[in-house]
Amino acid sequence: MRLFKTSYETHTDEELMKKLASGDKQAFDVVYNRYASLLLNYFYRMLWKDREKSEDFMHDLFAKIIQKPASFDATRSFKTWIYSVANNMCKNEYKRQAVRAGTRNGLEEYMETKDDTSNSLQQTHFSLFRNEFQKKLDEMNEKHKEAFIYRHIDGLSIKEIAAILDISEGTIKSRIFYATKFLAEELIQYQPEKTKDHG
Amino acid sequence: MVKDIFDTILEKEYHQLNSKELSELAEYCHNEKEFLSLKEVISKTKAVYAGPKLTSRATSKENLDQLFDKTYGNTKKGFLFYRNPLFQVAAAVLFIIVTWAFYNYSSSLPEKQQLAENTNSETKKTTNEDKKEEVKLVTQEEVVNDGIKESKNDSVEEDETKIQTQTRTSKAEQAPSPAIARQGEGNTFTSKAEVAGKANTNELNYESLALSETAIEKRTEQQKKTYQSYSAPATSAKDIQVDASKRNKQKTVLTSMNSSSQNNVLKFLVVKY
Repeated sequence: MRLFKTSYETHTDEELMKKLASGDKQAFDVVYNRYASLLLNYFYRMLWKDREKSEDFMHDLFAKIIQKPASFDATRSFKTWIYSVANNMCKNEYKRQAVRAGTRNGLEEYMETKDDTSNSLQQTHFSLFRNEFQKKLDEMNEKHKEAFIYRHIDGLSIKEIAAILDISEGTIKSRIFYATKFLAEELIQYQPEKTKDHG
Repeated sequence: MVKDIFDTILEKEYHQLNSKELSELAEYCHNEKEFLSLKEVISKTKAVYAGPKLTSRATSKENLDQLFDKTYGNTKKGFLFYRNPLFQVAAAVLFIIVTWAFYNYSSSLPEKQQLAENTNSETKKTTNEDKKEEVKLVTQEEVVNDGIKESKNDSVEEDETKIQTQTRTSKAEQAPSPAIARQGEGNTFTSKAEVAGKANTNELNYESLALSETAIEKRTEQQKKTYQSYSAPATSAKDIQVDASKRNKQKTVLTSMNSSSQNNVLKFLVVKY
């Protein structure tokens, strides 16, 4: 028996889901705060940078958690489970649209440069690289793209990605490597050796 | 997160890789140039997406809260403190402490209600009180009426008889002379005068009266001694009650002393004149 009641912030995702299933509103709030931003940005990357669509997908995903908490398998990791649900939602959207990522709403509001030095040339170079990077990422093989995004953007481990996509870790590693090599070849003009004059 | 080969590519240089890592990278890069290109893409990917992330709108959260309340009903967001095990344990401990304190208080009450045994300090108090009363009694010159004697209680009468026996048994408490005893039995001087019938009746009476006076003095002294003996300190609970009765007896003894001395004076005056 716990004598000192711990904060909900220290609870694991699985414990919070258990409390949420019994109607604990506070548990839901904690889960929302942990994953709302991550999922919103994931959908934003996966759904052609469409902010509105990303908000709707994020809302639909949490609505599913509220209405059907039993759909979460307690034996699995909640993180991998919620990402797998998000991935399936994106695939369904791809099928519905039947259009690969190519269109953008033109407002990359969150694509702000980290380097805010007074060097305008460097900022221009970085801005150009960023745009090209996004373009090539959209042109990439879909399976390679999602593995690359999961690993290098969302920060998931190879093991977690394998659980989300329900494939082996070796296959995940291979897909990430191929995506990285593809980008390296496509963005070779932005390599440091090639951009010495710009730095 | 467990470090994998991609973390190794970011953290190490090509010449720092061990054989295991090189074998793992062999399928994807064959030389240092390809290694560096992979490293560049990974680092720039982090830089591109290192900026502030999108945040969900407040309206989305409100809609979800309404959906939650609709699904599970209006649930209070507050913390039910009484369900906290720590609060329950604290309440139990407090209850035990209060019960123990109440038990100790109630168990101590009978001790306070018990009558304390007479100790020297209390007897000293009683002796002091008695002394005060003695002073009062000695200074009193009130004529005791028969009503005072009638107000005696039974215990006082019993003790008085004991005192009378005590006065009779001790040497200093010798019974008065037959002449005095006869006098004490209620004979008046007039009856003595009738018995004498001689010329020196008055002288005889005077002598007898003088004798009676000495006897009376002796008796008075005896009574004083008994009076003082009654003022001895009590040593037990019974003695408290005895003291109280003794005080009453002292009063009666003293009053009797006063009355007897007065009677003797009257007799003397009658004989003389």
